[in-house]
Amino acid sequence: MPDVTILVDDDHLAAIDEVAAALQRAGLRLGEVLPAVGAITGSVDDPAVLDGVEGVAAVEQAQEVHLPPPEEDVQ
Amino acid sequence: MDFIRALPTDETTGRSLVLFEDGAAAAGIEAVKEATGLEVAPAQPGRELFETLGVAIVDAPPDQVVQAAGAAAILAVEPERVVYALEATPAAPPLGNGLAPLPATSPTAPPRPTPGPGRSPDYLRGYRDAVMHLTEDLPPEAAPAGPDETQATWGLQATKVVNSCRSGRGIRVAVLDTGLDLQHPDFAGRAITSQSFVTGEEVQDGHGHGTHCIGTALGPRCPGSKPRYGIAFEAEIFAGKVLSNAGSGGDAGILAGIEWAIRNGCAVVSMSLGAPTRPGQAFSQVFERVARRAQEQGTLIVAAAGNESRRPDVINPVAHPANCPSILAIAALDAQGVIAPFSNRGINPDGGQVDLAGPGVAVHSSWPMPTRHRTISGTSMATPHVAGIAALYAEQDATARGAALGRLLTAGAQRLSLPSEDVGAGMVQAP
Repeated sequence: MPDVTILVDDDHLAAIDEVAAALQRAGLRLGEVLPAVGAITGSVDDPAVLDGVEGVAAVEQAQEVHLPPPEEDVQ
Repeated sequence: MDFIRALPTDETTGRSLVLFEDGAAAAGIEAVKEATGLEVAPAQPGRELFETLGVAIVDAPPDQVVQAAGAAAILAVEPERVVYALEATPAAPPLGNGLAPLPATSPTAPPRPTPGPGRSPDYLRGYRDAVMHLTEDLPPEAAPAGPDETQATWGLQATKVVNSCRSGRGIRVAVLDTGLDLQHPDFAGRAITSQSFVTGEEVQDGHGHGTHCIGTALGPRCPGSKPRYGIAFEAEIFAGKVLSNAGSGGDAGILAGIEWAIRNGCAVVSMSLGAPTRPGQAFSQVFERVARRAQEQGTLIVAAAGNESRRPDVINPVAHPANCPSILAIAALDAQGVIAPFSNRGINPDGGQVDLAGPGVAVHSSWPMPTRHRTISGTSMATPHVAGIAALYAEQDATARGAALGRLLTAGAQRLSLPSEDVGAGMVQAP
């Protein structure tokens, strides 16, 4: 189940918990609700099912970052 | 226009340049001819300026001219030097601070002078040659040595941090990374707030990367052993662990860390992390809007441009999320002001550019005990230089937050003779 990040549009920042609830009903396995940045994290089988949810500005597959091992000279 | 100059060697033509007193050139030339029997080079078309300049060329070496000329109104006699057209502007030597000097085409450089009446190109060349001759007579300077790091790292010198009266006092700076060695003696007594966003791991840094980055941005003024390596030594440390001890993390943890930093009133978020991007790849709409919302709430985000390049053969675009327009992307320079071979370039359009450069090669900073200190390289090391200096600006100007703070950083950068795709506005400088 891929991790996703969801951007809440400006008009729904005050109602971010309602947006999160609607996303869960649509199939999101909720991670965190982040009101200051206006984003919601979680995972979902098919990110496309979240596109039509009211208040959602963007759904993106979460990216991973990896540092080199500690012994590497270039970090 | 040919770019000509005398070679540094003493290659001369065997003839002499004779400089006469003002208004005495014509009489002086005749006097030299009569007294010496030496030939004065015939005037050539377009060479009337010799009389204007009061200069003649005599077909004999200087010592003979001086002996023979006697009391003629001569101010100086010099050997005529051989000059060559150069194929390219010679590489300028590094300045004392390790940075290359301003290029002639820099936006801040004055425009090239246009020769006016009495200032023909030949006149200007003659003037330049005379100045160069004088500089050649200067005593030789000592060969440039490597940076002297007995008191402070080269990075703190090149960014003028060592000259700044600011300390970051009252400013909160979040470093989102692998955490911090909370027992490190260099951070004893400091105000430290920390939180882990990595499931099952404490803030304690099991990698080292986070401790190194926090050291650069926020390390002490007087560490247990010199040199000084930390910038905002009185700022409040917010150590957010978003990367595991194995060095891995994801967007969800990074966003949670940004949320935490905003809610804690951090003026700066430093993120020495990123995921590689492909040429043509768009930036994240989520991170871009998040960064703008952070700025609107007084929090500026800076992030590493990434280390995926292998110059000169392979040059890759700025990594995610530094490629967002509202996140400052930081490239890495070495002590000679040269772009680091691994440092990424602003290749992608619409915000994928480099914004600033910082010291990112051979950077000495803190490392988890018992190692204590370590010298490593990366755009990860350049980024906390910018974050720490951002805290100094934020302390200096209480109204400079968010986007305004970013503008201060870029406006204050030292311009470099390097492409802006590589270094943005240039080397970050402390206020």
